[in-house]
Amino acid sequence: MTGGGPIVYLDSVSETDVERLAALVGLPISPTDLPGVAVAFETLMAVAQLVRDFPLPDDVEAAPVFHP
Amino acid sequence: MTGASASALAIAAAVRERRVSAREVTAAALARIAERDGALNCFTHVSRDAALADAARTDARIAAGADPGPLAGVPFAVKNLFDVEGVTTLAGSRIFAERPPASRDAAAVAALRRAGAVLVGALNMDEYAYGFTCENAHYGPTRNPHDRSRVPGGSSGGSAAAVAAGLVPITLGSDTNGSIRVPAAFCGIFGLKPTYGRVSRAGVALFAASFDHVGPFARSVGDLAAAFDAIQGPDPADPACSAAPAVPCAPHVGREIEGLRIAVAGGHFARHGTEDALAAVGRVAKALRVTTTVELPEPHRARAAAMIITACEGANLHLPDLRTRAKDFDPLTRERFLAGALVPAALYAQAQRFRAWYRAHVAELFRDVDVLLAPTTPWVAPAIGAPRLATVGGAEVVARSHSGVFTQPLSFIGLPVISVPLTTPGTLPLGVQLVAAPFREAALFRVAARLEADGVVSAPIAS
Repeated sequence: MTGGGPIVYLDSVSETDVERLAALVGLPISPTDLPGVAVAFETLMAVAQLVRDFPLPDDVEAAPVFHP
Repeated sequence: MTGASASALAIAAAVRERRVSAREVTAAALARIAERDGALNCFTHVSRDAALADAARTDARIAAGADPGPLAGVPFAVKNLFDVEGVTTLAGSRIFAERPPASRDAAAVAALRRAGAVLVGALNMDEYAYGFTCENAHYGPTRNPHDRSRVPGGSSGGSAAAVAAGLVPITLGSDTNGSIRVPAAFCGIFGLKPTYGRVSRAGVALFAASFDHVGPFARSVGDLAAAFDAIQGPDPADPACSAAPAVPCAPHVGREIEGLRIAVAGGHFARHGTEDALAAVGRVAKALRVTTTVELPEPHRARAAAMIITACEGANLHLPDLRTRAKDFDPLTRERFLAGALVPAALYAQAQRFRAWYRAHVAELFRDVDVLLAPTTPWVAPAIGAPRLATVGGAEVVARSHSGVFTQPLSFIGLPVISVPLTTPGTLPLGVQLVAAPFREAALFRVAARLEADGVVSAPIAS
């Protein structure tokens, strides 16, 4: 089973967190956008908790649309 | 037959029988748009000359004895994320406005044209389809024809408002998390989000490809079926489009519903909304004599997973522009797109795996049920510029995203849904979702037509 353990540990998101994450993925974010992005990211992480906390059997795989 | 209230089917019959010309019908639609759209802001482009020329060609074909198609002379318009030959596909953005005009029509636009319908223009939307309000900073907000101080819903807000106002009888929109159903409900019209893969998205600007669907809006069930039948079916140009042959739905309009097993979706779908929005489902259930309630498994997690996947795929799609020119995004989408680019890959993968789990468990539910009833939105259309937070059911929610609380758990796994309109004079419209198992649109049309025939649902023109 997977999914029961924490994947992301952010319970709250600061502007500094956003700056560090953005730097890791090479995404410049304007200082004026930082507060709003932090709020939006914190919202996503709060929502994500519902997904990450739900245990899934190992044999459940994603269902992408891919026809080789 | 040139009036705002004429249905698409009535127009097509009159044009085919030469009781009215396609050119007269088109000219009347263009006149309505010129008269009313200044106050509503549905259209971002009106193809006046091209539409009149198309209509004249239809008339010429009829005069020559050729079959003009089942939607002969019916004016239609499309959300401005559909490619229209000769017109720049905006997808609600300023950035795409710099692109050259599309070189060919999107598959669904071409299909409606082949059916004889006449394209009159392109319609406003939330930037890149990331919103439920159609408040667009670049092109202005579209206004709800029932109350112009309110939003029409989004992201296909222009598409819904144009039909509700009687500017055209049919439009096309797209639905990733509710973007056909939410505006259909707020504007008091019918909207169909078909099964994922049932209608080609070739030539449509994507948002989150895992959930992107296209579908029609109309003011009657018959028109909705005619539009859907014209655009449904396989298309190798869309990698997600199903190879299953089309199943025409127009023949199901008016068929009996006896034998269909209908149930109300409880739990998540019976909370999170205003009393009126939740009561709308009860009105439909009572009319259909439905007494069974069922609960979908983990719909709140389905919504959460849909939000994660949407954020990641949307941000990935626009990452080059987010890196180099984020300032050119609409302020209402920019911060969410930027945040989506930061989500860890493990969460995306987990959300996609949860999707497979959820699909399997919901499929079990549909062994015993043919059609589910659920509210479309948690409330009536909010005011333009409403505050970020709202309180409903005793909980504080992010208002703009909460409009999708009942639609997201369904589009997450591509279920077909018709939002039917409940309109009461003096009150704002509400919608109820009719939901079926994948590729069972026909059952939805049977139930929607029964409700329409019994006067339970209707879509009068908003004056």
